[in-house]
Amino acid sequence: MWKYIVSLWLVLPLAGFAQDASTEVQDTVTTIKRFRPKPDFKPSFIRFGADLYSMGNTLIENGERSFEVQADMDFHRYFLTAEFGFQDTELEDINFDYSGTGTYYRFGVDMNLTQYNQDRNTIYLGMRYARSRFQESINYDASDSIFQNATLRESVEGVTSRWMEITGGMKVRVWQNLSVGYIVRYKIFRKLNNQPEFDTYMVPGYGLGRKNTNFGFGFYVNYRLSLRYKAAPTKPN
Amino acid sequence: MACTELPDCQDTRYPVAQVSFFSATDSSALSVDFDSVFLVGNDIPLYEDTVQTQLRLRLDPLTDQATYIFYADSTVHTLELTYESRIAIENPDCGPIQYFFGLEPVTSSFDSVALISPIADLKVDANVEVYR
Repeated sequence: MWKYIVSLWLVLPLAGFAQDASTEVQDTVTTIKRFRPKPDFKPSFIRFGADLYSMGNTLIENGERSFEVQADMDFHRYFLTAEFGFQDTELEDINFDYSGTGTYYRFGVDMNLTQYNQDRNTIYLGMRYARSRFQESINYDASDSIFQNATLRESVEGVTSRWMEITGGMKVRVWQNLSVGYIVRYKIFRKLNNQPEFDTYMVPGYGLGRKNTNFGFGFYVNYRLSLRYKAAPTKPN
Repeated sequence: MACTELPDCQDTRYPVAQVSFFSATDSSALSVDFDSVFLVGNDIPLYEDTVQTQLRLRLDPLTDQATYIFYADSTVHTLELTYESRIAIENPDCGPIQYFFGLEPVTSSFDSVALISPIADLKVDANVEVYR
């Protein structure tokens, strides 16, 4: 009998301690949950942008004309992004001239890594799926001492290409709804519907067609059009 | 400094088929005394009065077929090759190249011919071996 009483005397305080500890842990969990921001997937803005880098290339690079615009919309900490552009490349030298022109589009998702920034400055990582459609033509004088009048003329339309991009960048608010930012792109898994006459030189939006992977860079100016009020989430304590 | 560097325009994909000659009796390399070598449809000789064990025969940039006539040691032989070609711009500063592939000897008046490599590239030792 004494054995049971001693055992009960030893066990009861422990049971009480365990109950206290459990309540304490539960309170802590409740506290943490209370401060975690609830995901808000309803879009609060749409943002439009233009790539100044491609515009600058048009001004600086001889024979290169390109233009690219972008729009994105927020879903919680994610941005659904779409981009559209065109690129026109012309090369000319003593024995050849080349021209390639086409359009491209990309769409994908960026993830905001700085969602608690009260100025809505963002650092992000994302992915894109991209497609391009273009035409190319080349005139090449292959003449030599044996063939003295051998000019090759090739022209193809409707060439298509698709690829994926891993993206990263940042956007910084500079004034009211205006922001600027850069994007770095790593272009992979390029699939080229090549034409039989000649090797594609330039894929609009991708770069040199002979490369299996490519890097890209953009510098955007963006305008943010608010759809509703949404406070920037507060970082949990 | 990198911006001012000249591009490397060395490309070994020359528009020629390398044809090597061998003895049909013992398969040893054969020096042939060629009076002339012509490409059918072209009046300009590819070779004249030369002794060679291997010839680099210019491929026709405008077609996918070339027939060569060999005048040597008072004999006349022919060799017909078919092939494919493409244009590529590897570096705009170097200009385009037309590269040839899928080389294949289709007809010949020699004892026998053998395809060694179907790619027209100076990196390969020979494209076609001719036995006479």
